[in-house]
Amino acid sequence: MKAWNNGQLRELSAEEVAVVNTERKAWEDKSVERKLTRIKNIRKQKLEATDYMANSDVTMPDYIKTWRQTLRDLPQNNTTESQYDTLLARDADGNLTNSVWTQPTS
Amino acid sequence: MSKTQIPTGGIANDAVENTKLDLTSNYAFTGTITGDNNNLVKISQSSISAGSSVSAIEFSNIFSSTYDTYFVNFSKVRLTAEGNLRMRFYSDTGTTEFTGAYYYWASYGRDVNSADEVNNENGGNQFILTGTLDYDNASDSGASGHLYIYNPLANDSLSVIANGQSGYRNNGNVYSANNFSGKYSGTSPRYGFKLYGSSGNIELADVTVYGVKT
Repeated sequence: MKAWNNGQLRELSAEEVAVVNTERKAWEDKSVERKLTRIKNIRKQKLEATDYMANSDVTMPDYIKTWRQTLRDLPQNNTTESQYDTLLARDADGNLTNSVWTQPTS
Repeated sequence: MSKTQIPTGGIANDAVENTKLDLTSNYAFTGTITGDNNNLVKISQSSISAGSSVSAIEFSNIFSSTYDTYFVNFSKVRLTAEGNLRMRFYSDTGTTEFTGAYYYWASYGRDVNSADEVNNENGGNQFILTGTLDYDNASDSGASGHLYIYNPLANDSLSVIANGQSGYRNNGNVYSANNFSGKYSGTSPRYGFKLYGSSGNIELADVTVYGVKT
């Protein structure tokens, strides 16, 4: 393993390599946790976008209530990394593709 | 007797115009530029070209008493795996790292799909300068941004601050902007720093460090 030190390639010592590998593993071990965090962040945005419908002067449609409950239940209904990946899938433009994120209109 | 002055009217206008002076030629300047008209001084630059792969970009023994403030410009920093861009100080003129819980920092970012990227550590062992970067799209140009580092040689726990901003395509595959600020709390001087990824190697980057005269 090498580093670029002041414009020169430098071979890392065995001790340095061990530290790098340990830190990288720590990051990679939390991959699933990070995905769940991203799902919760997206869910939070989606819920916030319809929070105004809970105001006393607005009537929240039942289909919105159902959708919001579906969003709240995402973590308990999706517990594996592959399920997280499905929820986080995006198209080439970066748009989320899973239909669960789409706010229903009826 | 040498002449040190040209008398009024003693030189024709066309003597300094391109009818007499060849402006396509190179003229050697052998004097010394004095004064303080160069406040941003390039100290070091490291470029990692596409196809290369290094675990870190290191700037060891780069801080000196000449400057209190350093400007770090980084562009096209691309990793080989999904990860964020990190920074750590060196405790000596070599590459011994400060890895204790000295790094107090927070960052706030937001991507174009309105997703927040909020992160912080109340005593971490590194600064994390960006959110998680995209890595599997060869057309991505990587993360670009800048960082100011203040008072790295100070012997106190209060004055070493790093502030920066960056932009990049994140792991949601959309563009994101990020603001970062961190304080280093250790009381020993920091002589240099390294940039590295939380995972994977750096396969593309251009990083330049400038000293800022104040």
